[in-house]
Amino acid sequence: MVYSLIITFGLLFAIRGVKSLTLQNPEKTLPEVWRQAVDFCLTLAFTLLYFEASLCIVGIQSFVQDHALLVIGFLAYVFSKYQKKTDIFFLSMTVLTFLIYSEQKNLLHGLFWVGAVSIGIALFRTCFLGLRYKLLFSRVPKMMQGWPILCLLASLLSLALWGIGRLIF
Amino acid sequence: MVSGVDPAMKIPDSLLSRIIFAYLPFMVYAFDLEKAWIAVLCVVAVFWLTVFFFWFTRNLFPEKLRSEVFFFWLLAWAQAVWYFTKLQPLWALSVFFLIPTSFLEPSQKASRVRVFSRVVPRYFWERFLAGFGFIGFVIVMALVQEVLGRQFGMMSFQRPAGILLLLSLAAFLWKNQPYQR
Repeated sequence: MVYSLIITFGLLFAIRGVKSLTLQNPEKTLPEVWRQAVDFCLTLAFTLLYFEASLCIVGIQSFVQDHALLVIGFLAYVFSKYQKKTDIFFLSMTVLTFLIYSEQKNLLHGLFWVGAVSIGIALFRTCFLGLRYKLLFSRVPKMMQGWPILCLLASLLSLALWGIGRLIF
Repeated sequence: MVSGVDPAMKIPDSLLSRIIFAYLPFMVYAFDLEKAWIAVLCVVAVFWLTVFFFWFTRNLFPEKLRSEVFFFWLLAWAQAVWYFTKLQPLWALSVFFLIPTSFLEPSQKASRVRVFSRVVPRYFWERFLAGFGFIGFVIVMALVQEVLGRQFGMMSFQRPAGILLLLSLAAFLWKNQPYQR
């Protein structure tokens, strides 16, 4: 599941999650991708931690448990607004925090997932950025421009990451 | 430098883009076909409900709060669906992507439209077709994955790498429709 999350959200952020990143200056764009990954990791970790902390408050415990998604959504909204992030960032943060919370065995395991997903997304975006930059110098047939070539690149990249992941783990 | 693609690589807000973006969260559901079916029905039902609800009520909300209302409306639906079906809320992302980006933008002023104007049925008919198209797209993708994955044993088509390859093929066929040339 972590692998699917990395590819799905990596591609989403690579295409729609950023406001001003262009391919013309990869030297400037690359550090920005990793800075965003750190932002992403910290926001995800803080949302998860605050949510776990709210579960420990005796009076509101059952409310928080019954309305987990709304509470996580509220926390993600506050963090995203504070950082002036995009709408996709806020929605993705909510969905990912909820997924990790519902699948984790304990908080430490959840935080490990947060780190793995964030690093995976950053790695995917870095490789994707590199491939898209190389495309600028290639003659892509008109029939393949746009979505067909982007999906093909993402497919090859995810195949490579899957292979590397299986070698390591 | 020969540019094969747009330098800024801006993806237009076309129906194809919206459908592909809306389909991306389904890559996480790919291991469970039944959940994918429930999810696509949720996506389209909430999409139609959202369009219907905000068509009539969007002028009731202050301009600055409209997008917030929309997001908490989505979260409320995701929470309700989770409560009854235990379906992970990834489908809420699909609803967000299916709705055109201009939706609820402060710059998009709602003009006065008479109730019996022809604009109203056309607006709803276009949204109805978009939802119906998304169901068709997900069904075709699920069937192809099922045939390639289960019948021919190519399990990679049930993983993101294979699904993205299928998406690439679908986008290629869509882009090169004979009557659009």
